[in-house]
Amino acid sequence: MVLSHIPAQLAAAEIAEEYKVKAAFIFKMAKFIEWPANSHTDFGLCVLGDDRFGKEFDDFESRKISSLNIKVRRYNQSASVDKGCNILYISESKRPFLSEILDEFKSYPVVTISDMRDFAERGGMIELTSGKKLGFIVNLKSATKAGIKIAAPLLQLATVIK
Amino acid sequence: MKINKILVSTLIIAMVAFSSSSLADDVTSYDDLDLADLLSLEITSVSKKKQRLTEAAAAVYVITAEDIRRSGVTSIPEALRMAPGLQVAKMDNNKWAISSRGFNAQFANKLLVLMDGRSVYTPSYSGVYWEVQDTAIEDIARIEVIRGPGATLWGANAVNGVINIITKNSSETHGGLVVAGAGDEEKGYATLRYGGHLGENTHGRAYLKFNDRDSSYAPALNSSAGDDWESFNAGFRFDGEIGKFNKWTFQGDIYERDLNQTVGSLFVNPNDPANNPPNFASPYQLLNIAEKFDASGWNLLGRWERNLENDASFNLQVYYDHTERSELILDQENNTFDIDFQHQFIPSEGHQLIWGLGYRHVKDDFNNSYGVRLLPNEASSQTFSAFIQDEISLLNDKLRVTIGSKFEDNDYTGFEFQPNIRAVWLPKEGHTLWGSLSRAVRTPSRIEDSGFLVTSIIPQFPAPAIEVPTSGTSDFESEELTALEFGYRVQPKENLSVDLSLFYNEYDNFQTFETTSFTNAVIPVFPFVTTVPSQFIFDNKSEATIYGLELAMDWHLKEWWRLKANYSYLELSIELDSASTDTISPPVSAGSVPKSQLYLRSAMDLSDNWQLDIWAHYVGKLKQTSFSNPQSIPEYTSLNARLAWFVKENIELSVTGNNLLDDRHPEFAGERYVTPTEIERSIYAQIRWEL
Repeated sequence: MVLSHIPAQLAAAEIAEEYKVKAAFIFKMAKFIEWPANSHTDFGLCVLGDDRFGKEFDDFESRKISSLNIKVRRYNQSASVDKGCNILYISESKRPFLSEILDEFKSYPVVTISDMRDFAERGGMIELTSGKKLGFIVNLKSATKAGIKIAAPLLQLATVIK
Repeated sequence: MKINKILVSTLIIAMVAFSSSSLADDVTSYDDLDLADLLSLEITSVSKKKQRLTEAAAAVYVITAEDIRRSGVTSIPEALRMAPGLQVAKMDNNKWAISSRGFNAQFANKLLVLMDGRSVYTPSYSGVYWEVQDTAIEDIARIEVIRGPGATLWGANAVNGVINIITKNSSETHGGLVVAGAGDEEKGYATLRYGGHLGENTHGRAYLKFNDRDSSYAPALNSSAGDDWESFNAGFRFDGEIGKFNKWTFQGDIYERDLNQTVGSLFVNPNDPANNPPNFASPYQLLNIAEKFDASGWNLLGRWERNLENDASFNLQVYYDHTERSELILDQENNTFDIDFQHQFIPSEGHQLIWGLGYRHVKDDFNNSYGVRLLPNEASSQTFSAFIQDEISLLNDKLRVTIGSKFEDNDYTGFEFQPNIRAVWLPKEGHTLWGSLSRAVRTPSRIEDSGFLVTSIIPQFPAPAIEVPTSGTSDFESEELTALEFGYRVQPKENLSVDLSLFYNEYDNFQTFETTSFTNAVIPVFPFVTTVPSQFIFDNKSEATIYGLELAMDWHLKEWWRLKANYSYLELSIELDSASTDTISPPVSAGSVPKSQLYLRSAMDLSDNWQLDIWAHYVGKLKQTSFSNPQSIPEYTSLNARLAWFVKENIELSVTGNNLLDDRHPEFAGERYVTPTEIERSIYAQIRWEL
């Protein structure tokens, strides 16, 4: 059924170490990405679905990426997602609707990131993988189609799908 | 009051332990690392298959820590009023009757209640003494309320619902907390909690809680009901990690209640010369006895969770729970030892398998009274259980089917089989449809198996009085439920969600009281010789049907204003077998639950540091709630409000008013020995200070 007999520790305040590392990674990685010219007044760091980053993302709000202030936005539904998002992290909770969501954003200059399995293969731009160590897969075709440029130093660390 | 000294010294020792340990903040920052460094870190991935409540194939409602704080409740049973489908009623100021989807009673027995995985029902009657279930309210992370059967995972007695009270991990409760308040009904209360690091990967906290509560009003006495009470609680929780893959928890509580009650009616032995000749107005019954009594207990629980590769994990949990309670009507002591093991893994793509094993040993000891006896007065029983369930993901995870069963062997009824099948379908974003078919059993309690309850005494002066008992029997069988449920959750807008559940429950082998012998007697009001029942037994000669719906809505209207509403509706019927002679239980089973209940809540942030919460609940009429107090309870509406002011970020002052619309109203009548009472309006002020 729903929740296990032995209560799971899923209290929101507790952020798994894995997500602290992933949050730091997303922030550093953004410096190697170039978005097409736009009229954004802030840098939209967006989360769609269950948020496992919590405060880790909120702490970025005092900082800048490409000289814009980071602004964290969270959404339950893809229809509500603001086109002002620069990065859209798609949570595992949206797996059943991934195809529809990727289809909706395919031509918008937003970097889609997720740690759900097969994300890059299904058309997502950056898939975070975690075995014993963090890794990532870049779908270069999806990025190019949306006008996103990813710098070589980042691609060197990635597994690239063309 | 020895136990209180133990409580205080426990807390002091714990506080010293924390303060002497290093409290340096655990700043793990990955800021200074560059990309390549981040990619070289070893990480543990948390299991991805965490069940989301909006996608659960069951009727689940979560009362959050925020809900609890903003309602100002000082006890767990009062917090449960927020959940749809539950019926929460006060019998007097220290007794609650709580049930899910019908069959509420003083000894309601179809609800499983867990505190951090520890079952808190009393094996003597399979119900919960709510007045002893407590913890620091501020340390509760959430209360999950699952209406409907949860027997496949939780086992017997998870028939009409499961309530899971989950406290915060001690890594989230660092620092000190002082909560103190006072009012008219809540005469005075205080909670102290302190938590911190106990080493690099270990956290801990300890709490101490005291409440002093006033009496309610007894219309029959036209005065105070004499049900004021004091409660003491203390406890601790430690959580830690060993390496990257092991998590552990060790926790415990100790409590004492100093309770008062006015015993409405107590039978005395008609064969005892001291009770003869009987009092003419109430022969062989003592009325309205003011009683002071105690209940106390302690528990210890340990849990170990190990994450394995490929999203697999196992859990092992062990606990020991001791309770005792001494009343005129019965002294009882229960010792429970429980061990549970659970393993989840992915056997192949698209499957998530969970299986587990459990063992429980309960040892009881009763000091019988004339009116209530357990024969023998000491016994132990054990239950072995196993369960397995597979969640199968289909259509790109849009359809999930869960099949499973619990298998249990207990000392009363032997082998029990409790299977279920559930399915959830996510047709599009924001829409969840689910359905389930399940079987659950409610196994016999000690009283139904081997109890002896004096039910009435018919004086036959000068001949000896006739004593009419109700006896438990080892032939009493489990009550069996077959439940069909459907639900639809929809989030039409980002800020609005609606959750509808429909259910149809059929109970076989439902409890009845059957007459096993008759005798000739002279009834005082009808002074001829007539035939009257002289003995009843607990039996299983009826069927019950319940159907109904629950609707819950959550509307985040504005950033500063949130509305929540619940509505519950239920129809219930009892059908006796042709062989049944029971006229006592059907009116109570059918009459103790309101057809409709409505709960509305408004939570407003008036400004950055002022919050106003207003909530109201309506409970429909109850025709009859007790076998021995055949009064009806009129419908009522209760209006409540709380105003809070954050003087500083860490200091909150609040005033809470409950039952503002009337001076007092009855909510439920308990059995013969509980004097019917009315719950009064109450107002209290509180300070909450985080240090």
